[in-house]
Amino acid sequence: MQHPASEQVLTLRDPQQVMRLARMGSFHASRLSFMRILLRRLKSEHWQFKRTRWQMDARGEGVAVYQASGPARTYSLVAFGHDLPDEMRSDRVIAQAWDATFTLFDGVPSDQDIERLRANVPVQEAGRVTQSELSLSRANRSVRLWQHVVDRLSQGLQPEASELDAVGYLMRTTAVYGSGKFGAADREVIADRAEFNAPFQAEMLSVLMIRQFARDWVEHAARQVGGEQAVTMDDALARRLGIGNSTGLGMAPFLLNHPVLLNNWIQARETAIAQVCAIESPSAEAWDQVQALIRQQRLELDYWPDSHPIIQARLPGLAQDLQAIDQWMGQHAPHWQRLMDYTAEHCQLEAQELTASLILEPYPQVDELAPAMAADEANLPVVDGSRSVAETLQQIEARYGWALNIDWDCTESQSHLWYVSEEKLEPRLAMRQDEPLDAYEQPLAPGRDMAYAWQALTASDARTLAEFLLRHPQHRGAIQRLQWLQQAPYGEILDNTTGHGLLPIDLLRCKLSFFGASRFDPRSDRWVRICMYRNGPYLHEVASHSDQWVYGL
Amino acid sequence: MSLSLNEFQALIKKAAHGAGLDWGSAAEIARAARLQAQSGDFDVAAFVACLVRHYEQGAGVGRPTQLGDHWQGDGPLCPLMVGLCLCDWAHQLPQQIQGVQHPSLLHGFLALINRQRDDRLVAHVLGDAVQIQPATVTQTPMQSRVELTDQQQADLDFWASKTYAPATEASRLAGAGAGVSDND
Repeated sequence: MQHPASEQVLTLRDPQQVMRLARMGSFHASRLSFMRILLRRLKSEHWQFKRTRWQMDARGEGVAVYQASGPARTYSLVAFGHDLPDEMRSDRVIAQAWDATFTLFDGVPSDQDIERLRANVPVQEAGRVTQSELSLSRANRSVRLWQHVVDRLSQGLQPEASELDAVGYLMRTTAVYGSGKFGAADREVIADRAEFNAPFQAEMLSVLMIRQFARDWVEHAARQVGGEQAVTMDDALARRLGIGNSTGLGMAPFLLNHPVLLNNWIQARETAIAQVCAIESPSAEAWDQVQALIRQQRLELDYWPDSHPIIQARLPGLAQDLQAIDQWMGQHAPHWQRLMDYTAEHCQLEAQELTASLILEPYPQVDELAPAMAADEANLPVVDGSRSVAETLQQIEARYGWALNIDWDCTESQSHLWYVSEEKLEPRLAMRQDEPLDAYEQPLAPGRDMAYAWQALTASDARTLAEFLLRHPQHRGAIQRLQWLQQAPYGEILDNTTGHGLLPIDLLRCKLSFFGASRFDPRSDRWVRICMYRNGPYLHEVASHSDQWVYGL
Repeated sequence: MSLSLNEFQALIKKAAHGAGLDWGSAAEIARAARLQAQSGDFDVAAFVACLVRHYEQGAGVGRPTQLGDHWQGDGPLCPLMVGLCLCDWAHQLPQQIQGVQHPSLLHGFLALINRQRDDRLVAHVLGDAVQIQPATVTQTPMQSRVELTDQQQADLDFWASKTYAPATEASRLAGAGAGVSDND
């Protein structure tokens, strides 16, 4: 049988194994990543792209508009270029100016729309957008690479491939806001459009077009310097460039605040893995394809930035593991479950999760799981107060045994505290003992809160949850979460999110892997740089790109 | 100002917590407020009056103390507390609730409950009492934005701001995890 086994009863990996921070912090992109989902649709539906406006002056300041037209609708990326002094360039969320700023407009903007956006988009959080806008984002140039590319193109020469590979992008985004942020359209406004049904599709479309803008903009800069002598970038070289992204703590609470959505992402990937592992006799072609990808990923490690000890500690092991997996595959008959068993027993988490993603590649049938990755969070039910306290206690013990085993009165169990600063209204992390911020704590320790709810339920003589919550309203959040998660086995992170040793970048990497990011480059335990769309098509190549673009194939 | 529903919901949640309500209650109150605002009849001034009462008299004030067919409390009932109780007792709703302040704020909670029902319940105000009854008129069209006056925005921002920690240089550096070059 060569098709994923969708009909038979599947054995998915245990949430106790999957939903651990260390493993989630080792996730890799897959066929079900949101960039892959978007590009497959754009290609199959024959989307058309065109640049309809390019009003940039000699300093690169001005506005550009790119249109993406599908079967039913047109969307426009409106891009503003700025001549930013070097000293103002920062990836931090506290920055107030950027090299370029963007919005994805729902339709084709009029001149009046452009003027309205010109007054608001360049100032980002300090401005307001409307329901006509689907995203708000900004990007900074890579100082290292930008000048090299301008210098070379302006002299009529192509940039050095090694320089392109060393950085990986011309510009990096520092935020891509969607879902109603700063006045933009709510998710509900677009969720029933086929092209935006899967998660984060409007944001991924924005980034795809921002990557095109970065290329066009650097070529514009080269023309200003070199005039007639300047050349454009070779397609094959340009494809080596993705778009960078810097992400910090602002993204970290997302997975905790959206448990049902998190479940749907993880469950889709785990279902795909289980479908593939259930194939009794995989073809030699499929086996060879995955083995070739394992080898390709070994080569790719050379380009993976290793400036931080966290990743320095992992890459040598990953290289060894990939070599061992390659060897093992060469010595064994095709069988995905046995391959997964081998990696689980002999390899580190990085190689285990990379293998789990790669074995999906020969099976486009798993792409059908993509629509199930969305979640209708606005329609989640109210607490069912008719449920008994006894049943609820059993549910907590079944799902949160790990949290009940933690001594929450111990300082180390709650050494961290999540809060929001008044300065930028962004999440931050404090050491609880060092800063008196308990009054401002955000509800981002679901294990602790569930343990406290369990204690109160145990001591209560209430029969039903309605009676219990009347007397103990402070446990409403935990009880509601428990009920929402009854149908969501992968919705909870089964680790302490406030304890000693917490690495917030594990949360970031999990989310970014579902976006389809590569080259995870931690800059500290709290922020990470990544690359998106590396090896992907530019807009004129979308119609003809390979489904395996992410591997440079 | 024109807010997205997400912005409005987040603002209400923070404001409710800023007045002292626990995060779980604040989140559910915000879900109800979002639904009611979609019908265009969310009373911001009444909501803020409720927050003031919780802040001044203790979070959780105005909760029903007598349940059954006829709910009442030891003093005036808070519609936010009554609304949360209605959600919890959706399997056994009262016929009448006595002494609810700002009863129009119950509509959002009933809208939450109605999503799980075949029929649609509404709150009828009769003097000092509220009766929970099946609706006889059709529902108003759902709006996708919330329009707030400057005063309404300022009032909600005031309560929401109580959830923000004052920024310090230490938090700017350590709290957000900077410290290495971000301009290269």
